[in-house]
Amino acid sequence: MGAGVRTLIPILASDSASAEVCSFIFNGLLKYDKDLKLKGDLAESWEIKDGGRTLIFHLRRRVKWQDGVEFSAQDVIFTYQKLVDPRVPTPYSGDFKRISAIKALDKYTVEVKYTHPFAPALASWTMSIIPKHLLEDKDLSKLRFWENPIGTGPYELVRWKHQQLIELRANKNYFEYPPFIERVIFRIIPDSATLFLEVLSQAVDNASLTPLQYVVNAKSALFRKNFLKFRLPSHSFIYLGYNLENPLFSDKKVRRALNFAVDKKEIVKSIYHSQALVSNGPFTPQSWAYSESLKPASYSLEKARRLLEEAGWQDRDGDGILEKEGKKFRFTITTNQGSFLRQKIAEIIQHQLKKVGIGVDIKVVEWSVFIERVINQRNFDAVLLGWSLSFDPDLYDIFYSKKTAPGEFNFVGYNNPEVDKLLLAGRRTFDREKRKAIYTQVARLIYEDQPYMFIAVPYSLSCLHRRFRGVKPARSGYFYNFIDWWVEKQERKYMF
Amino acid sequence: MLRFIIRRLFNIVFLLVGISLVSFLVIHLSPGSPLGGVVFNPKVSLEVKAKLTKIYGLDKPLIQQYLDWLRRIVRFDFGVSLLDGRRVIDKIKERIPLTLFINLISLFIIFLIALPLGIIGALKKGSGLDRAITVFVFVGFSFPSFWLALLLMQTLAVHWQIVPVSGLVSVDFPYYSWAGKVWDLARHLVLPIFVSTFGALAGISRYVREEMHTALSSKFIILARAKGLPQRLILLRHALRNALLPVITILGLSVPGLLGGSVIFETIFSLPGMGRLFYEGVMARDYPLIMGLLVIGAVLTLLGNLLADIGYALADPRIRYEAEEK
Repeated sequence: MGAGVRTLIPILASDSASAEVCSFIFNGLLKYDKDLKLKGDLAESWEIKDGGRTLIFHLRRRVKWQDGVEFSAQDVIFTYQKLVDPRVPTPYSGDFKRISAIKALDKYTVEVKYTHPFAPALASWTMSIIPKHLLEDKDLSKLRFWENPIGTGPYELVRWKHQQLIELRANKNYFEYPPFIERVIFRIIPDSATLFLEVLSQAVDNASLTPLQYVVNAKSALFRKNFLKFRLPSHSFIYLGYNLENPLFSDKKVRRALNFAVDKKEIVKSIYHSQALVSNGPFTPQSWAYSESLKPASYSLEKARRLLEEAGWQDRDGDGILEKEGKKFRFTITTNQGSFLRQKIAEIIQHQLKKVGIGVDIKVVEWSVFIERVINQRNFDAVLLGWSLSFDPDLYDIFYSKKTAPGEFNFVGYNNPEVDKLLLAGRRTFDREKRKAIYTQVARLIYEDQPYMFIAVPYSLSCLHRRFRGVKPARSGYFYNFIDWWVEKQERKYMF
Repeated sequence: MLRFIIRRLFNIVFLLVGISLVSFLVIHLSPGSPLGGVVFNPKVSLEVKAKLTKIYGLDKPLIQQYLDWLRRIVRFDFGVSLLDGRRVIDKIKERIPLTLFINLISLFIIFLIALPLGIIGALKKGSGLDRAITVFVFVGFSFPSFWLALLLMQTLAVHWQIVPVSGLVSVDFPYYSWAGKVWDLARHLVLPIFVSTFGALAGISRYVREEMHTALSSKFIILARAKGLPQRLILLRHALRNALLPVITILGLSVPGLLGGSVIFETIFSLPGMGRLFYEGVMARDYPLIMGLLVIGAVLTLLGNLLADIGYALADPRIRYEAEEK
């Protein structure tokens, strides 16, 4: 892992390292299976009633917390109470605020009522459940740091050396069955070059790779002898978001022209070493709402020039930059510091837009300042950013026309009444096929409107030591069946 | 002498309050907020942001926040990190031993190597040997440390597998014997210490060379030579002592630096030192942590200065008298 784990209280974990380790120690009521479909975890089954206003979860029986106490409906209710408690600094209360009532019908049945039918609710119950008997008398606003986390999951904590490593051991009483791999150690290695050398020296078994490492460095015989490499579309996309209040971008023709003028294939090839896909809209191929029928616009300087001319932009003074009503077409792309890839992408866009007579400046701003001054105050022409979205395809927070207050996420100011209507319908519809049809329509409309220039979906690249057996890569990656993995006796490296 | 020390201590307290106030204002007024990293997620609603702002106490007026902080700090309570909820003092405490250890060892080795190099350079100034030494130390000085580190890891750790690539100890460290632990730690620290030492040889050896050269050409050395003292005595007792005075000043100035880490260096070697702690704190706008580190740094610097002043006063009567006349 690149960054240290901050907390092992899952409802407080907002960074990916913490969330990853928490997923080994805790369980949610539901989880995503290998095909990214929801399936029962601590809940054996569930029912959707009242047209989606009521969810009933039937919990697994005889599940024990790692300290031996039995898991029950009370833990679920406790977790909910902490999620909506104003004194608990959790970033996840949003979806749970919509719950109007929650109660235990018996020890193993929980009934959750919502004010309105809310389709993403089901996915929100993948949230890890925390033990009531251990945290009840603790003040979670103060105790954000829990030295001995106890969950229901397949692994339990052995030691936690801050900024160095976390060691987990198999939970012998795990409710499915104990995992075969006895110990899991997460090491914190912040530098990606160092990480790759650790891989080569076989001190690390599983690591993420940069595109360059995946394509070039992984060719070495030393690497291939010991490691398998894996590639999967990530759940994120890179985009150029326009400030739609800026008169430069208020015309849809101009935005479409820009989309034609930027060769995304070039970006994918030169920046990602071909380890990315050209993005076709707000969904990634990993999402069930993704539609293959939507094709990204192809690169065409001709179409771009024609559209710009139709929109009234022409180079009258012959300086290579278009103008309209005496104003030159010049804007600034702002992106965050610390992402080398994004800065390079901005440079390619700059270079390519110059060909159609558009001048681009690039500004790089430190992350915290970027959020506060650039995004929240809508102080930008265009921002180059990425979204890493949850598995549920709800895009309400990002594209709904009213989500534009400072600190909300429609910071480009997108407003399409038809999309609004569909987004609301998508939240009320539980049937996956019907929902998919809605979101295909949403994606089509948004791609046509181009509030964002959708650029690329990077692959997530990683490697795994060959001595692990039972690894079966699927749509959701290859960690979903981790408890089934094993290592042959003669290949075991660590003895405990 | 006592009055001198008491007065200086009194000054230090005022200075500290001033330093803390200025630091507090600067880090709070600089753009960005501790929420930046947490809240750029569509699942985080506006209400949640308001809630977090309130929990962190960021909604109070700045001066109120400072007074709250000051009230805690006089009881040696550094507060709680906004990032992970751990006590700031715990986070700092666990980083100190490693940083101090690496810095002390490299400082020791730097002097061990740089002193003889400087002396030889001064004795044989302009010779082939002198020039070779100069080239050697400047090569070390000019190598970017991260590049040298990666190169060494690639050869020593990956190809020859003599030492581990990075980290402080092996993953199975707790299961080693006592001697095994020492050996494991040593193997992990060889590369970091070599890299940090190699780059710093130039500075000290150049100082020693220049000072030694000046000393060797001064009149009392000529006198000593005329008196027929043996070369060894002239060098070590008369010339070196004088040459070392400014060097010792440099040593004194490096005391607060003993607790300062280096971000690049610690990142490359995956070492949990003070440099990364501070850097991460600043990037996340973890105000209590940044303030804690700044205060500790300030205290160390001021104490270091005080010790140096006392040392001077003890060694040099002129300074002592001046101080007392005032």
